[in-house]
Amino acid sequence: MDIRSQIAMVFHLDKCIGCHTCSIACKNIWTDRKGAEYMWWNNVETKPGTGYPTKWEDQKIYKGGWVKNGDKLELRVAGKPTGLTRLYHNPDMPVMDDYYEPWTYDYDHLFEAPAGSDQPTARTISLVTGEPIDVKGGPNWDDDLSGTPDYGRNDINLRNVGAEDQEAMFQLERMTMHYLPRMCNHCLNPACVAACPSGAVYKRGEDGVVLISQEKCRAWRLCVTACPYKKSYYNWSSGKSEKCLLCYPRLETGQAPACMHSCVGRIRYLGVLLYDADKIKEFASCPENELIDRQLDIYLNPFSEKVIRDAKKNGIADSTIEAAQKSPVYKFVKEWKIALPLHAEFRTMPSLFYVPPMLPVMGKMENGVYESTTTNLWGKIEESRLPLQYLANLFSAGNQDKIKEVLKKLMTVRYHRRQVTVNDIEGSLLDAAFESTGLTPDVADAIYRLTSLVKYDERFVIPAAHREEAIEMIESTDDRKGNTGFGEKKGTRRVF
Amino acid sequence: MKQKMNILALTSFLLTGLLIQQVTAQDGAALYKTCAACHTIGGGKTVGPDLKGITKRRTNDWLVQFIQSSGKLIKSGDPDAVAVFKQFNNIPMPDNALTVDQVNKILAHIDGGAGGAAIDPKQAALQHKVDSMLKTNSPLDILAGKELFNGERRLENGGASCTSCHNATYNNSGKGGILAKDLTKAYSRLGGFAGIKGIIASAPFPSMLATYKNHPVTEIENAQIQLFLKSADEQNPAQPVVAKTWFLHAAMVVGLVILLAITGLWFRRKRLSVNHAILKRQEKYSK
Repeated sequence: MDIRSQIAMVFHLDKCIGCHTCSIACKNIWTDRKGAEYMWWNNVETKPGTGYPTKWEDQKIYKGGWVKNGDKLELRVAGKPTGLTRLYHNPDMPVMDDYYEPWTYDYDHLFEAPAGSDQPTARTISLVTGEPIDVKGGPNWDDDLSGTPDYGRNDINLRNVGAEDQEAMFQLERMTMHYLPRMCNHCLNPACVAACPSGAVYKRGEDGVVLISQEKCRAWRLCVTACPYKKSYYNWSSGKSEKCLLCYPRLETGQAPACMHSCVGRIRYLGVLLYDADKIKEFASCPENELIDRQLDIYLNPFSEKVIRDAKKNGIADSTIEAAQKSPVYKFVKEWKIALPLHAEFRTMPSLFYVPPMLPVMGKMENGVYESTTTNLWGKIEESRLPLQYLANLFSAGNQDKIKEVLKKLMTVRYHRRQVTVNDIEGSLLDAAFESTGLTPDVADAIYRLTSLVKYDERFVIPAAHREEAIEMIESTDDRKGNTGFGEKKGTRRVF
Repeated sequence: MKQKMNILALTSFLLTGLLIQQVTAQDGAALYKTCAACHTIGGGKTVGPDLKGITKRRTNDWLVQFIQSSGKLIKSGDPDAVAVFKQFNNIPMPDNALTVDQVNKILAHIDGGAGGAAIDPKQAALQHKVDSMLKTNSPLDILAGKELFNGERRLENGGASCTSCHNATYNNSGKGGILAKDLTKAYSRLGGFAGIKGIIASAPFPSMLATYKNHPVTEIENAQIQLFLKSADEQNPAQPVVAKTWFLHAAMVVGLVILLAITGLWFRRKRLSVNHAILKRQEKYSK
């Protein structure tokens, strides 16, 4: 056993309102620089839709992630021979048009315009060339289902969804959508790390954050191709690749990452998971229908005496184990099993989990009247507005049973809370729901509490970073203390 | 008056007769020039047989047929024709578009023999010079012949260089044309100088004839080329060396590799942007 700690996240999609505040918070802190304008380390997509960059989920186009070859797990982009031929010519690299050409506005023209009979305008100016451009697209051009014929209908998650269901999804009266906020998954089996020829991408030992060393990066850009989530971006100005760093300077000082801190719907949770690193290879290369279960198996129970002992032996701090025990992520993912990873079939074992959206039918059109008072408060799970197969393609590698299980649990919690607050649910219905899901009223209350009520400290259980231990490995803490805080970063170079 | 008219008529008749007789002799000699490429009259056999006394050895009818189209006669299985064809290394005599009358004139010329014509002293001096050149076989002349053959030096009357159509492998290098026959072994094939000389002077092949019709090769140049071909013949004991095959094969392999590389690159070319179709459609409707 090789127990390590991983900072993991849960996004509760039923709570996401698609406001993009997370994206803006991230942009303001990290990617508001030359060459980084087009980077959206965090973005919010509308589903059904093609996302950013367009059709990122289609690995036939982008060749990201891992692929199972017999018993072996191989990168789609960079086995040793293929990687070598692709070093200098990589036809699967996303191009600027797959993202968009970033732009700003000629505000000066607006502000400095002399009085006249026409309203002055601010033209769009490319942030790449500095020339005026006609904007052709942006990072969320398909927001709220806009441009559906071009985008929504080309969503690759519609595969295996029946033609009739697909047609129904795009009928004006039945149209439905949900939001999918995305960021780097800080995977347990990251393809970007494996693909980098210069060894610049690495997974941090203490908390599993995946980072790109800006000193070692040599602009091969294989991480851009290899990441199946397209969350590694190339900075055309600095000539280095960049990605989400989970706001590690904030984490190290006990603050939640900016996107999570700013989240209006409070959909984001962050906490520690302990996992067995020895099992990664075996579990990441298991058959596709076992992927979800195997990934859940890799996370260990932080209350088990044996796990605690082994974790300590491996140098994991007591504070980290304590954080793992309080981790909201552990509860969602492992205890309640109501959060699932996005596209487990990419086999990178992402550390970001989603509580899938319920989207139950709340009413229907009858004789030209929208009828919302039905005998049942909510429609059946099987009759959700989004076909189950569609959600399964997103969150459970195509396995409908898995997603149904989760949605039933969520529904049970709602039945239970309705009963508690309004007391109008039939007893038999509630009992059946509890029986089929294996939940108890106590657990349902706990889910409700963590979903709806908890404050900052319970949503974000951040382990102490113990920077002093990291410093001790390199120099005496006394020296460090006496030498930091004032002076020059680079010494003066004396000629004589 | 009547008498005067008679005398005039008689005179003109006689004059015309004389004139016709002269024209006939000249015609035969002129027409024979083509034959001289491969034949001699009493000068021994070259490409074709010596024609002295040919009219006595063969019937006139046979000769006319053979001269007009030897190929036809050989195909018909005439034993004499086939024998001659085999005796002279299966080199067919080209067909001649001559009337029976013209053939008879040539035969008359052959019967008349080579002698009789007055010897031009200038021509004799030239002939003497050529003969001594061939006898000396000087390396300079061989070199000159090689240069003329390969077009490194222009033929005096501006004719096309031999290498345009022919190849002659010399010093293991032969970069000549492959339109016409390889001349590396021409010296032995054509039976020595006379054969080469005859073909150069008046080619029995239509395209070569047309090429040099207005640009005749001079006697000196002719001799130099003869010397060169003799030298080439001596250098190459076997039949024409086609030393270029290895190059051809190598070129094929290299070409194939290049083709495969291009194909490989084509299939691995940069794909179009994912948004290409969308942007194209937008462009179309925004106009």
